[in-house]
Amino acid sequence: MSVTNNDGFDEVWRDHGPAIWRAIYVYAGGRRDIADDAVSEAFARAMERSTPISNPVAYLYRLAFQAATMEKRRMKHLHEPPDRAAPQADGYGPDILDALRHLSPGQRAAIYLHYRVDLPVTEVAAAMGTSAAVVKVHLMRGRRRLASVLTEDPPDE
Amino acid sequence: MSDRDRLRERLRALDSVQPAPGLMDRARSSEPQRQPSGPSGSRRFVVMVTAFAVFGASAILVWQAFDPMGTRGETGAAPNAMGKQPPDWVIQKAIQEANGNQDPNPTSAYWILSDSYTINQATDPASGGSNVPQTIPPQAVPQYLIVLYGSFTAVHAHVPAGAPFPTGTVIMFTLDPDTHGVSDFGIDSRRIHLEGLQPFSLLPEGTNTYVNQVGLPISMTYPSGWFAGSIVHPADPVGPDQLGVVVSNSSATMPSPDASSPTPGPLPENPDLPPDAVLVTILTNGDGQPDPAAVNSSLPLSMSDAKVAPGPFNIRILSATVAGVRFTITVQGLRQASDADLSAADRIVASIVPIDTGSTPGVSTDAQPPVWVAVEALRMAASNQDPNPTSAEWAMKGTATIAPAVGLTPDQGGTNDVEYLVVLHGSFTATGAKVPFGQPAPTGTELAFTLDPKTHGVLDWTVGDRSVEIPGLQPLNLHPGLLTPGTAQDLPRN
Repeated sequence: MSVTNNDGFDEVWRDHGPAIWRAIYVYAGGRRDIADDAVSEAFARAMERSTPISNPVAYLYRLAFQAATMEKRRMKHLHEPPDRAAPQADGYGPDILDALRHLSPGQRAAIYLHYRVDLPVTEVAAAMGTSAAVVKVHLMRGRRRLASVLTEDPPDE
Repeated sequence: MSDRDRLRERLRALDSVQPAPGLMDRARSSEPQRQPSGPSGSRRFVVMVTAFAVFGASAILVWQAFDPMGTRGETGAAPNAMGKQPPDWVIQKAIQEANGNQDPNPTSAYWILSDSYTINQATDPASGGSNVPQTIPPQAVPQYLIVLYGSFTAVHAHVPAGAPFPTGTVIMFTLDPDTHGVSDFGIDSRRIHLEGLQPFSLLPEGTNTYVNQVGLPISMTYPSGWFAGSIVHPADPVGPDQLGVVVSNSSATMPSPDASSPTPGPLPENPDLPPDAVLVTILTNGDGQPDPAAVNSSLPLSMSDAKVAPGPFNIRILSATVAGVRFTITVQGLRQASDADLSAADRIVASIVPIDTGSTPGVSTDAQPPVWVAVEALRMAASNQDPNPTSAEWAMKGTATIAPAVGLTPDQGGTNDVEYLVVLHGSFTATGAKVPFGQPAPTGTELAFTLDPKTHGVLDWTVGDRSVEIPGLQPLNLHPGLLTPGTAQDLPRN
């Protein structure tokens, strides 16, 4: 699928927007504000492009991860308290989100994209702008850490 | 249920978390807006509106007093040489007014420090512009008078509904030396004659001209205290790399070769960005090749035409075509970015001009490899302790030809794959070489390395004093002086 300017972005949003948003939400440790800003910025920047985007979903993932990273760093720089929006305030999935917050942002995102969005490792790597090897490490370490937090055994590979 | 299924089931709980309503509308709402100019932007707007409200009518009269046929002889337009520069804050105000009135690149600028009485008397329409006061009353206060020539539109002027904004080829305003506020403003199309006006440059003293290192047909001017570097960026996972340049007031924003994932987008991946950082990112849309059918944007480019990205960042994005190449230009200011630096960023964008690489002095017209080869050459030079090699050559040959000539490791597989050979001349120290403990790193006047045309990766490299003798070596365009010294090593490879 190839999109350019605003063509097709509604469809991309409908089919993939929530998943992208949740991936960023998880990556940001449950910060809804970061996810909202990062995803809206990603779509705005993607729609700004004048040339077709051959893989808009991966492109949007990458832009959104980038924006979220920048925002997290900015907040760190400004010494703002992390995760002011407690996940419990959202009222959904506090257990798994609390557990995920014991992982690094990269591990969280990789776990979510691979095990919930069902993206293969190579596509997770493309979405996060990293290599498949790094994603595999994220997954391995993330599973172990998650298992210890959840007091479960790590899932089979 | 397997462990993996249990994990999936737990993650499914997150499906109930939904994005904020209207997020897509928010993304679409990035209509072209007036540039956000930082925390004091709204205050400045109020000042401008107030100035218009209070002085709107009188300004017209004031302008009529600046009689182009005035008898006081000295014309502010005559001298070409720059006179004494006014204080920096006056220059910044002038830049702000130029930007705010839709011409960030005025053709000329003049200033004088006088007093309110003299200025008012001199511009009194009843005097025809020749009412020079003999004495200055005690109530007169010092004022700066600034006159800018260009093509202006007073978009902040109060006009009746449906009426166009005032336009003109000249704007003038007075500044209070104490408060630095604008106390009067006018726009017209007359030439201003006033004794004592002296020309000044809107460019801060000491500017650099940047011609990017990756072969883009543009150059720009930026303040001497700023930094510039070239970037090659894979914006689209399966598309061509984007090429471009980053200019910033902070060295921390220069692209890092160690950018950790995720590393998409033109923004710098640096965890230590200062809160007042401002950066201009200019990236090609695609591979940077000129499109003969493309319609070039009107110059100078203006960030007033930019779209404001939603979200907490102060990001403005401008699409432009220069020399047939489509660019996406982004100006970003962090939370504590100053108005002065944001204005400087806008002026950098306004200074972008096309260049003819074939006729640029010092640029060879010999056949050149893809720009990423030059990028790799700069990276290798920098990592071997000489970011400014004296010369460079390149060739595209088979491994079997290159290896024995250069002393590189021949391909053990016996293949003869075609690869790029780059030879740099300078003073290199191979700090990355593996040497026995206690041994110094190899040094040499020649750095040779090969690049894989498919992966763009370095296949092999060597540092030494031997001279590479291989037919077909051609000069490689390297312009270290066009990169800020020390930033060549910051060329990222994503």
